[in-house]
Amino acid sequence: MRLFILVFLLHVTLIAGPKNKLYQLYQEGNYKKACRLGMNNYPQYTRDETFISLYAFSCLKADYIDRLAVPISALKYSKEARSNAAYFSIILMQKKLLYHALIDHYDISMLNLPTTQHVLSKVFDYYTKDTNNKDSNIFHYTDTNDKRITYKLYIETHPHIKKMVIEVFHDKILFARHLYW
Amino acid sequence: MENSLFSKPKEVFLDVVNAKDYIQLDSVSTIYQSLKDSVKKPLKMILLYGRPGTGKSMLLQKLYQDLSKHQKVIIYHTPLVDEKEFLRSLARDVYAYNTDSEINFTRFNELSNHYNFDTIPLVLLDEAQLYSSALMEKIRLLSDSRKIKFVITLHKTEKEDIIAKEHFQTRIWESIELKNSSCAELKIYIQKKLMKANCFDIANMFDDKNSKLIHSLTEGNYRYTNKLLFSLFHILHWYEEHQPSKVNYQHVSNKIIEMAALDSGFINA
Amino acid sequence: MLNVQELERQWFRYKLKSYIPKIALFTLLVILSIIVLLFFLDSNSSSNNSSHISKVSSTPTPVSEEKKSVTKKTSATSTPVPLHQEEAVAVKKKMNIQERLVLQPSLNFINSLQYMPEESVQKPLEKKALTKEALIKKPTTTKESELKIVEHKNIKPVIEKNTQLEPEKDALVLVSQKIAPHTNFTINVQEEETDIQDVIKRFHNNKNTKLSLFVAKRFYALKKYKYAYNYALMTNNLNSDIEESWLIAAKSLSKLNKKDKAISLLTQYIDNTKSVQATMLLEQIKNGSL
Repeated sequence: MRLFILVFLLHVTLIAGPKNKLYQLYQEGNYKKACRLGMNNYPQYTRDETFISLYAFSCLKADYIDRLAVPISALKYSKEARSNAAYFSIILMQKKLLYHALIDHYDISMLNLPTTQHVLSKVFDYYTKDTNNKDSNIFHYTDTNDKRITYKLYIETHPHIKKMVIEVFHDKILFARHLYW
Repeated sequence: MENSLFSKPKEVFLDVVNAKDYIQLDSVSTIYQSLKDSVKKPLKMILLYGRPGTGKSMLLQKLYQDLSKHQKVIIYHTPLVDEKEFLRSLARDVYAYNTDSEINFTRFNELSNHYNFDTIPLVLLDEAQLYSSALMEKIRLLSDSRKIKFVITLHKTEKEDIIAKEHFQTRIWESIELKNSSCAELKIYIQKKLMKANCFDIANMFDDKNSKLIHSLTEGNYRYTNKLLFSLFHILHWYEEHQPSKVNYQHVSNKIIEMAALDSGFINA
Repeated sequence: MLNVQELERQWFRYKLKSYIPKIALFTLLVILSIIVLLFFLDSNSSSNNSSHISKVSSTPTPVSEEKKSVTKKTSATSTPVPLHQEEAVAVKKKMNIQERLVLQPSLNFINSLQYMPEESVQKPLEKKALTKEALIKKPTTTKESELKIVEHKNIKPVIEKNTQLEPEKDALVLVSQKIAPHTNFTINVQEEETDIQDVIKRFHNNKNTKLSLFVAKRFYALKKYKYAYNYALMTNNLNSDIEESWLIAAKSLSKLNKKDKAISLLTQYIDNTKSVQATMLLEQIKNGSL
């Protein structure tokens, strides 16, 4: 009985409300879970820009770029929120453009958009500035700020959809793998 | 009002040819001097021409006054259009030959042969454009005989130009042109005329703007100027009598000048 | 006969007539200048419009199979206009010269994330208070006894004002050992929760690390290790030099069965500071003796 109550108490303490839970998940680095939590509880926090911002950053870190659409439209009441909304919108647009360019061979070399420090923005910039033939399937880019970091960009075919992959290498060692579709 | 300030200036500008009223102006003086010199030359005829009101009659009168002291000079202000009357007058005035009968040209020539003078008599003919062509021819013949020297004045019109050319171009004669005065000269003319009549205050009332306006209205013509200024002082005289408050004794307003021009017909309202 | 009045009237008419050509000329000049000015302004505005149109767009339109084109935006409208390839190249060159706008994210909103007791949280707390009362029977202590114990237990060299309650905790523990187990006493958990909330509110206002550290310690004492960890982390964010908050954070992680994280946190802290207490705690966590 005591054990049951203790477990129950622990569970209860662990719940602690969606907002705090979200913060907790974010701090733990459990971005996918945090993004899902934010999405599911968004109707309760439509005017809470702190919640929405946190959930948006979680989705961004989880590479769920398309899920930024709702926060982009909702973040508008404070300066910081608007700034973050612009930031997210750039990344979303760049992801869409790059995906379209890789699969459909759409020419985006003319574009000159605002950019960010996000890996997707960096690879997008390298791709648009690349004057080489874009017929190849795999693209390699070296980070201009740190020559030890390289990026590999390619399309991976899955059963139902093609996915865009960005692999980040540090001294030729795979450091991160981002999947977008 | 007899003691009006403007009654005397009004009289000054009466259009009367009087040698005493001759105003010495630089350009006119030069012309007059050349006229006097020309008379001394062995010329048969001197032509003095210019537009009406440029001072031909005045110059002629002045010449008559100056030369009559030294030699025989006859002046005819108004032309004697009748040839016989002209010759009779000429015989009487030059040769003191009085007759009631007509004198023809032959008879006059005979008369002229009888008389000798130290200096050839000088006959001044004003308004010579009124003489007939036949008479002008006779005058030409008389001048050819060197018995009489003629100084004739002629209005410079197109018709008179032709006469001058046809009748006299083959003769040795001199022509002197009189022109309208300039703006500055006109101002001097007005002021000198007034100062000669001791109207110093009135003379000081005229400034450059006034003289410029008068010159534009009269084109520098002395006769027109006399006429305009006569009318001007006439109006000022009226104001002095009826509305003295409107009279400005320091300066002549252009309004009064324009009113005088309207009165004289220089401006058509 | 001189009629001066009539002359005056005539003069007035003459003057009016003389001014008519001057007025007409002036009017003509004014009209001409207005026309010239309008013409000039019109030519300026048309040249400005053409310069707007030549600016680069930001979004492309869907492409046909034959020809790809880049859209352009005017400053006034948002509808895209097709642009020739040559113009696009020229525009691209122009844009390359210009600096890129780099957007940065802002995470300042996290500072506003405070412990807000929600309805789902409050109910379990109340239950906890009741069960505690049932389970834990501790004698109520008088203030005098507390004070006595405080004198004995005053080991730590640095005692902060906010930690006045701490001796009470120790006193409670000691008293429980002395007093017979059959004595009934209760702990009013509700009052402590209120106190913590007051402190939290004060921390929210002034961001005092001492307050956040106190809250972390209180939660740790109340075995609310999640909240203890959170507030320890907040303290570290505000001031990373406070050792106690690092220790509380590590202890909380350890209590939450996240030993690995606790060890890595302490290791990192020891690498930077060479703290003895942190080293001791690390040993305890590794041994499992915490």
